[in-house]
Amino acid sequence: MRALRALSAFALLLPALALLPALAPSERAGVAVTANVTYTLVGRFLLANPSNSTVRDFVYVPLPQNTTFQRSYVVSMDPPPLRYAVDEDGNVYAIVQVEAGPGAKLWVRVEYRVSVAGYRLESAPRAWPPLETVRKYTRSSGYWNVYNGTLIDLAYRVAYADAPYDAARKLAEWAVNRVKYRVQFSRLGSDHAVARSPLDYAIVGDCVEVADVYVTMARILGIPARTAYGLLLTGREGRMWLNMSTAAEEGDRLIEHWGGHMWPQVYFVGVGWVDVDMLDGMQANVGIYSERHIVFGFEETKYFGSALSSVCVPSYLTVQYAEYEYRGGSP
Amino acid sequence: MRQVAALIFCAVAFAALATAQPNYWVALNYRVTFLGDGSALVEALFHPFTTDGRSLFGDPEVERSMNSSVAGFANYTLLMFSDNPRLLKHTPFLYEKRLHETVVCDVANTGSLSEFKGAYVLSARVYLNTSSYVKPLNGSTFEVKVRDSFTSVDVRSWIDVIEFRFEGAKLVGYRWEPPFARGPAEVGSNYLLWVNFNEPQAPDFYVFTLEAPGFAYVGEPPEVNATISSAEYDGSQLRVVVANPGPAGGYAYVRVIYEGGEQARKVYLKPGESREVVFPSVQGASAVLEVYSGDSLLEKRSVDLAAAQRERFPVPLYPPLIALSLAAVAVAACYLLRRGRRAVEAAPRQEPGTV
Repeated sequence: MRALRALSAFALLLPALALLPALAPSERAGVAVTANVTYTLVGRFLLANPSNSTVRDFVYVPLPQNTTFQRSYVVSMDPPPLRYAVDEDGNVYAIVQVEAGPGAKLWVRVEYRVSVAGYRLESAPRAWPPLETVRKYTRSSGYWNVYNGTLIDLAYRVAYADAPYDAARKLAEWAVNRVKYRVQFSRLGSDHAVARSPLDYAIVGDCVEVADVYVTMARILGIPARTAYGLLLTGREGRMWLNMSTAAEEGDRLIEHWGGHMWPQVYFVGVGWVDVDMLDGMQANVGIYSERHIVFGFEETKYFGSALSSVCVPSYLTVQYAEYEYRGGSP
Repeated sequence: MRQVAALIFCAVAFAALATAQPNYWVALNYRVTFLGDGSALVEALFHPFTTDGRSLFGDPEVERSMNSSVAGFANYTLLMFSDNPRLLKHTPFLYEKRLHETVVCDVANTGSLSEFKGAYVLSARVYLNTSSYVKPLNGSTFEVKVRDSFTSVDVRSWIDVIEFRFEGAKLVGYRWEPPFARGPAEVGSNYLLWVNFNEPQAPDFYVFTLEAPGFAYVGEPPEVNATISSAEYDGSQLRVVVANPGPAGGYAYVRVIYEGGEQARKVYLKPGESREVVFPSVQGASAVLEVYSGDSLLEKRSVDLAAAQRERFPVPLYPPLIALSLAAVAVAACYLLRRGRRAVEAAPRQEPGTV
């Protein structure tokens, strides 16, 4: 359910240190909070300079975002960030400047404090959103081709409904029962993630493909949809790691020690963005969200998704190894 | 006259990310010329090189790899002018090898530009009146945003040098986003040149106010010719049937505006297909229904909700009513008939003098 690319990404609460007392995520009408956990999350990324000359490089570090169900801030970053910036979809990230001699290696270390609320949707929203919201979040893109005839036929056959919640739910039920999980090292996009088997269709790939297919089909049905990316933790405390030189060789075993993740969200009037993480327990979780998620960003409008869904993005250097350690407790 | 244009895309080139392909980077220069008819001639100049700055121009393997990336580069080019390239009108892309062109790039990220001779050039004319990044202002005056689509796709990528020319289109004003990025390095009477040595100082958007005599805003063209077949209200839900009588399939937006709110749903309609859309919690005495496709308003109709409610069962209710009425008439007729017959039948039995 996680993949190498979906790994990482995150958001920050700029110097929101002053907001510490208000760290607990806020509640929302129609939603019941099921758990609250505050994590200390430490990320370490090993970068190498493969060239024969000294390189001064900018490294882009995704940060845990602030959402209705998540509050976060950067405790420390080494080297310190040069600047915080925001991408087109509103995701905050840090830019770090480093210098590495020929063949040299260096570490980037970040520590975050993240409060996450698990929740459950208490009602089934029925109203459709305003036109501008629909226009913005149902567009076609490189990975979400809403003009794919097969997906159009499938979406209308399996999930067309009068109310957005009903359609989202039917779609999740259809999708979760057709996942043929396989860690994928390049993003297929929904066009290439749905395969026809003798009796039915299957979604082949990992969390990214499942999310791409769901978002595409939801958009085909007129439901505003996007992806969220970040980490899916296995518990309150643990460590996850990724060695780039062995990742491809590991294949599906990668998920035994790595929790990079991507999942869909749909927009309901009166509630807002609601998570649909079908791979967390392999259920049609429309509006059922565990506190083991840490959101590093969203893909909404970008045609080719976001490069910030990677752990750490250097320009000239290469990432050799990444790890996160986390420890959660009561807020 | 500047010979080289200039946009350099200093990113980890696409090819470098694909392990099956040769490992190289691509210097990418753009030249954008705004014309008087409201279109823009876009030229992308590529020059492949190794990580240590050695030119790979003419290398057969790299050339094959570059050729296979043309469609991707074309898409990036269109994404500079629209977030919906499918609906952006443009001439077919021309891909050629030009020996006389020069492409520049900061090869080693040292803050100085190196020149490469020769370029693979991808060019097309883009019709800005169909761009989702164009905002009409007044007659032939409009604002156009040119996005650094490379930064948009990959945050570590940027356009190092970009030249905008104004030939027939008059530059009224310009700005860039975000504001902390650097402005143009050169400002000429009919051109602007940006030189960005790193991503943080490169704008994400270049924004121009232009006056082009031939400009007429169109917006995103419609995909289907959809129409409203019926609308029925049951006191809370508004049921709308939208039909596509045309020969092409595509998306339409059905929108209802009512007292205190609006709702919209996007539906796909195949040729000849119709689909029912349900809007819950619609309130008030009346509502306005609209159908769009692309940016075009195809139909707008007022709906008297009170009347729609009264007429909500026109077909299912009348037959039972008629049947009931007929049955009642029949029963009454039978009753009267039987009473009459009884009266007639009873008469002979009447004994004279009785009653």
